[in-house]
Amino acid sequence: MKVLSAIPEKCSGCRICEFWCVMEHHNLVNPVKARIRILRQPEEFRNTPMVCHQCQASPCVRVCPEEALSRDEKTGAIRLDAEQCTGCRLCLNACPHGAIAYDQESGQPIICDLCGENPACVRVCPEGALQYIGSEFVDRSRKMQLAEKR
Amino acid sequence: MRTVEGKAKMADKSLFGVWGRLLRVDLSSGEIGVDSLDESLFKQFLGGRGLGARLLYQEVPARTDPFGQDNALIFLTGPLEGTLAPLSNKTTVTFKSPLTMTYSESCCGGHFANEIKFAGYDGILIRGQAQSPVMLWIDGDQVRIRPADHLWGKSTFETFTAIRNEAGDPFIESVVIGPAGEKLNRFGNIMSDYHRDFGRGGGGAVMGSKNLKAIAIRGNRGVEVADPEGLKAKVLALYEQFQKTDRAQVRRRYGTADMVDFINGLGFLAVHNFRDGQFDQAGNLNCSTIEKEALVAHSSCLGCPIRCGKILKQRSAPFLAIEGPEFESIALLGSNCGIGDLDALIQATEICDRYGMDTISSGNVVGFAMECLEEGILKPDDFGGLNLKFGDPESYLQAVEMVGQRRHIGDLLAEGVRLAADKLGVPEKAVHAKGMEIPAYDPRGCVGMGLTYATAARGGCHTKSPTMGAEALGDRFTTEGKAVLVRGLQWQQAIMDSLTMCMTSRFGMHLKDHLALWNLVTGYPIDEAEAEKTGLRILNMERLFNCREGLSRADDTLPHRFLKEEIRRGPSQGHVVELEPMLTEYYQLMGWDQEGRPTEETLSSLGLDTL
Repeated sequence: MKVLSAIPEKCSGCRICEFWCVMEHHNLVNPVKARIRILRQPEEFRNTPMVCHQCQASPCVRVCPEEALSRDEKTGAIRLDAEQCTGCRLCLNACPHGAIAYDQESGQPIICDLCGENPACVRVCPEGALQYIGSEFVDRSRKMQLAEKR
Repeated sequence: MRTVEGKAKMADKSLFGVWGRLLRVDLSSGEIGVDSLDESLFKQFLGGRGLGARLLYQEVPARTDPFGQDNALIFLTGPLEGTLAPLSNKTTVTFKSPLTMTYSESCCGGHFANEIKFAGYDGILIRGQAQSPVMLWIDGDQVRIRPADHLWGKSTFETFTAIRNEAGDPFIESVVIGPAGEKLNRFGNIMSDYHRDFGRGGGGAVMGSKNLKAIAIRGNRGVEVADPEGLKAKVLALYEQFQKTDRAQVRRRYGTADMVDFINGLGFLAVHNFRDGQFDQAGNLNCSTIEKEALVAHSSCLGCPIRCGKILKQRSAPFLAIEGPEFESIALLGSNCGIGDLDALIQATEICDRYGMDTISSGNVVGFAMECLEEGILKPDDFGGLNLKFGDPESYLQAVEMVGQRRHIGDLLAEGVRLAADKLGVPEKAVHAKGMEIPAYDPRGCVGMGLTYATAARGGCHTKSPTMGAEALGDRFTTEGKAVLVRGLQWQQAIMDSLTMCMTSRFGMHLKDHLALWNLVTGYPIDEAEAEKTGLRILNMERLFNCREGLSRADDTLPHRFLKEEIRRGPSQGHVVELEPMLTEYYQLMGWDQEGRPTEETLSSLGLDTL
C-alpha cells in the first residue's frame, strides 16, 4: 500500500501544494479548505508540511463516536460519511500529524482523500518534499538524509 | 472592533480574480470602511503598482507632507494573487516618499498579499495618524485598530513573533516596521514574513509617522478564476518552462548572488562609494563561495518553484543565520563599503533587517560616510570616536548599527544621502537619483541603467527597466538605442508590477505568458497591443504625480559622479554617462515635451486626459 510522506527538510515553504489541493477539491483557492498545510516558522527557518499519513491504526477513525470515519482497505485513504458526522472535531484533536482541518460551511472535518490515488500535492511539489510511495520504502529518504549529514 | 460591510462574492462579477473592495482606514478618526473599486480601474491599471499610482494621484494632493496625516499608504494586491498563477506574490505599497518627496512605490514578496485576498480585499488604504502606537488587525470582516505601545521599540523580528504569539495563530501574516521606521529614518522599510521587505523609498518611515507599528491579517474566503481548467494547464506548462530555462535554474540554485561575478567581471559594480567599478575581493562574496561557505537552506515566496531565497549562516560567532543577503545587499553593504568578509556582510544584513531599514540605501550612506572620513570631511569624533574605514568589518558594523539607532552621525545619515551630503556641503559625493540611493549597477559601465535611474518615477531604482542583460550582450557604453530599450522594458515591467508578479518570472516567462495568466484568471482578455498601452498608461500616471509636485527635466538626472567622474579601474575604467541625448530621445518616444511633461495628445490617447 502507498502512503503520503513529507520530508520537512526539503520543503521551501512555497505552499504550491496547498493551492493545488484546494483547486482539486473545490475549484477555487482558499487555504482554510486545504487538506495539506505548510506551517511556516521563518524565525526558525522551518517549514512543516502537515498532511494525513494514512496511519494504520488511524486514531481519527478510532476516536470518532459516530463511526463516520473509516479507512479504505485498499488505498488507506480516510473516508468521511457526511451523513453520520456531527462535526464534533474529536478526530481533529486526535490526529498526531495535525492533518485535519474543519470546514465552516459543511461543519465537518477536512481530511486528505489521496485524490483518487494520485495526490495533487505530490504531483506539483517543486522540491520533492512530498512523496506517495509504498509504505515499506518510506524510510529511505530519511536514511539518505542522515547519511548526507555525516 | 469594527465589522466592515458587505459580503463579497467573486462570481457575481464579470471580472474574476478581484473583489473590487478596498479597505480604508483613517488612523486619525479611527474610521474604518470599504470603498468599492470599479472594474474599469482594474481594466485600465490591472492592480498593484498601476492601481496604486492611480489611487495615490487622487488621494494625495501636491505638496503633501510625507510625514503628515494626509499622506496615504496604499497596500495593493494583483488580480493573479490567490490563484495558482506562479510567482504572483508581491504586495505593493504606494505612498509619497520622505526620501524623494514625491511618488514612490515598493513591493514585497512572501505571503502577505495572498492573505489580503483571502480576507476579501484587493488592498488596504491607510491615512491619518494615530495618537499613540497602534497596530491594525484584520480578521476578514472584523477590523480593529489595537494599541501597540508594548510593541513600539521592538525589532522587526521580535514584533513578528509577538504578533503570532499574541494571536495564538502561526498562520497569521503581517507587515511590521522596526526602530528605523519608528524614528523616521527616511529609508526605513516595511518588512514582511521576517525576511522580506518593501525595501525602498521609506515606506517604513511613513508608517512610523502614522504611529502604525504593524498590520496583521488572516482570511477565509476563496478566490475563483474565470477558467480553472485553462489556468491549471497553463500553470503546469509554466512550471516546465522554468525547469527548462537555464537562468531560472541558476537563480533557483544561487539566488540573485549569481550576478556578482557577471557585474564585477564587466566592472560596473558599486565599489567604494561608486568610484571603482570592480572589487578585488568579489570572490569572497560570489555565489559559489556563498554556496560553499554559508548556505544552509532555501526559502520560497508563495507559489514560486524558483525559491531564490537563500538562508545563510555565519561561520564564526555569533553564528547568525538570516535569509539573504541577496545581490543588491552584497553589492551595497559589501563591495560599496569595501567589505569582502562574508560573515560581516551577513551581520550587516541582519542589522538592517532587525532595525527595518533598506539595505541598498544603508550601504550607500555608509559608503558615503567612509569616503567623507577618508577625505577629512567627517572626523572619527562624528562617529563617537569610531575610525570608520573602507573594508574594516568592525567599524563598519558599528556604523550600520549607528544608522539604525540614529546615534552620532547616524542621525544625519538616516536622513538619506542627498540631505546628508547637502548638509555637509559635498553634494557631488552623494550617489542618488531624485533623492533615492542608487543600487548596485554603476551606469558608467552600462549606460542604459543611467537612463533607468534618471527616469524611474521613484528615483534611483534598477527594477523599473533592468537593461543590464541586454546591454551586456551588445555595446554597453553607447547611448544609441538605449532610449528604445528603456521604454520597452519600462512598460513591460509596469505590467509585471501591476499584475504583482515577481520580476524573476522573466526567466522563463514572457509577456504573452503574463497576459495569458491575466486572461485565464479575469476572463477579460488583453492582447499585446493593449498591454503596451496599459503599461504606458501606468508610467504616465506616475509621471503625472511627479509633474504635479513640480518635478521636471532637471530632476531626471544622475549624480555628479556618473556624469563627470570616470570609473577609476577595471574594464569600465574611464567611462562616464552621457545622459542628455538619451533623455531627449526618450522624451520623444514617450510623447512628452522636452521638460518631461506628457503632452495633451499622449494623455488623451491613454484615457488620462480627464484627470
